[in-house]
Amino acid sequence: MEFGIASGFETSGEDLGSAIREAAEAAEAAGSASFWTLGDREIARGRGYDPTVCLHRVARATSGLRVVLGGDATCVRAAALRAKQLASLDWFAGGRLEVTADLADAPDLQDVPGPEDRDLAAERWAAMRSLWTDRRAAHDGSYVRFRGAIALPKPAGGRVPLTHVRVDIDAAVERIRPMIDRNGPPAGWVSWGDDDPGPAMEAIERALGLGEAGLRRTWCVPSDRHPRVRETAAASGVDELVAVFTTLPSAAEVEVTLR
Amino acid sequence: MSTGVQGARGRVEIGLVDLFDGSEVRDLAFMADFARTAESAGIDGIWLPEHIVFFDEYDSEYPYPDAPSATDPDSKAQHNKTVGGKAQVEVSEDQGLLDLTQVAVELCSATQRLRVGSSVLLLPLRNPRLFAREVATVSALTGGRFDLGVGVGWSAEEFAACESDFRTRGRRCEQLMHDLRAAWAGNDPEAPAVPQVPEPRMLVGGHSPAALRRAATVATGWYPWNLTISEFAEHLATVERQAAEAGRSRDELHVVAGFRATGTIAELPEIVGRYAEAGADGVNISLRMTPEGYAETMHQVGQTLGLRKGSEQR
Repeated sequence: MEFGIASGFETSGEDLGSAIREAAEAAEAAGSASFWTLGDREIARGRGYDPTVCLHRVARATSGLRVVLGGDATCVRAAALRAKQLASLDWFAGGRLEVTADLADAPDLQDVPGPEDRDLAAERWAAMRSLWTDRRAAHDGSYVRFRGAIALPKPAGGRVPLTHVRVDIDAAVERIRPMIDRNGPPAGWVSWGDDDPGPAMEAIERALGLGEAGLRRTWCVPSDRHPRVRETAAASGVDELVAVFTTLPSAAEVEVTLR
Repeated sequence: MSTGVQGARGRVEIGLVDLFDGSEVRDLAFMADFARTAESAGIDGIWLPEHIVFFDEYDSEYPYPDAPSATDPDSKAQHNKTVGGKAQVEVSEDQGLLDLTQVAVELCSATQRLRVGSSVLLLPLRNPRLFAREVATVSALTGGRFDLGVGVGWSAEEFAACESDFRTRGRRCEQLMHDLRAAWAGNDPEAPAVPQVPEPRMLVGGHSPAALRRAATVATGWYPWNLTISEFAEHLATVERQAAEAGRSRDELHVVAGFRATGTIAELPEIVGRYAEAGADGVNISLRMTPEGYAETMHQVGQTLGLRKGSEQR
């Protein structure tokens, strides 16, 4: 089982860039497999800084760990705009970006009422895939339409960044099914919270007919619980256990947590 | 003795408009060198254009194909190609652009003093509940060195691809400007709270009547492109009058005149000086520099415009 850290981008008064650099360098030095942002839904509840721009600084302060957006609210961003931001972030990160799709509604983050159709998220991901991989991208859907779009730069290597899906949402199966129907299975599942996510992930895989092998499992738990749930996580087949800090941790806090 | 260009309102900030496309030649090392070279040449800022996607062909017409003449900045010469009688945007085949805010943070991380601005960012495409936080983050990470130039765009094809209504983009832009300023000031109880940072300059691009009014009454600056000196002076008078009518002082506005340079570097002092005399607080120049020649060009610009003291010249 791998260990990672996640952090909100808030500080206790010190310079934001310096605090990000300290946490990112400490994570890499402590052997963290990854550095995750909080999800858009969590960030909307606080005064934290923007996860995409801050993850850019994490990527530039490190060289090996995976950099992961922890909950990208698909319903509140146009596909072409988000594809550009993520492709650029991956370019700056040298191909280390991974993204977690959050398919839940996000009323706090919508500037205008969005369509209720749960196919919107699936359609936006399909449109982004075309923008990331096709020399002249095209998509003809209910909400997103373009043809002959030149979207450059592409993500590193012309690939689609590894995509996880959050399962800690209401009506998870109903929301995830259209995504898989249009885009294929994700790279893995992600759950944020105190409860062992294994049973829920298994139930979703069964409902979606994803077979016995199962997908990669990531569990994001509050940093103070990280040492205490390792056995539970291992027994549940969790592949990566992520310690969540609400504010940027010091190097010492990172080191102690991942020890 | 002060250095640089002096205008009607004091020292004028000189900016260069250029792009970072994510190509192999304009890699991370190039970006850092580019920014540091600009800083060492005495350039005040790098300004970044924005497009989310490009197309091989456009039905939409590029609105700024005529640049002021280098030798007679009271007249214009067309420099963009036309297709079917419509002016086209000046880009290469397979043109790319990196995300603007990430580039801004990258350039500022390589420098100490250099400002970075958007020239201009397509504001109607943004969700203000996310974008207020994004700009506040850029402001924090750059030490307040980010200037937000905003515009309504000209490509209906690009707006359609970005799921945004082209016809109502002006109205939406203005609402977004209000939303952003309210969010930064903590005055929007409906919106998620954003980090409290000093409000960045927000400059409105363009010179339509609506753009002038937005610059004068909502934004904190105006950023027209490719105007002759007399056009600039005439529109600036409108902005100043409308600002005064709205109870705002001229010092609340930062006015930057931008243009595509068509002549030699030796001819820059004439046009830059005339914009400055007409009341510009800043002048932005698009030189279309090459990766091979940008350093020499920047130092020539710095020297020609007297941007560094003699002892600081290369």
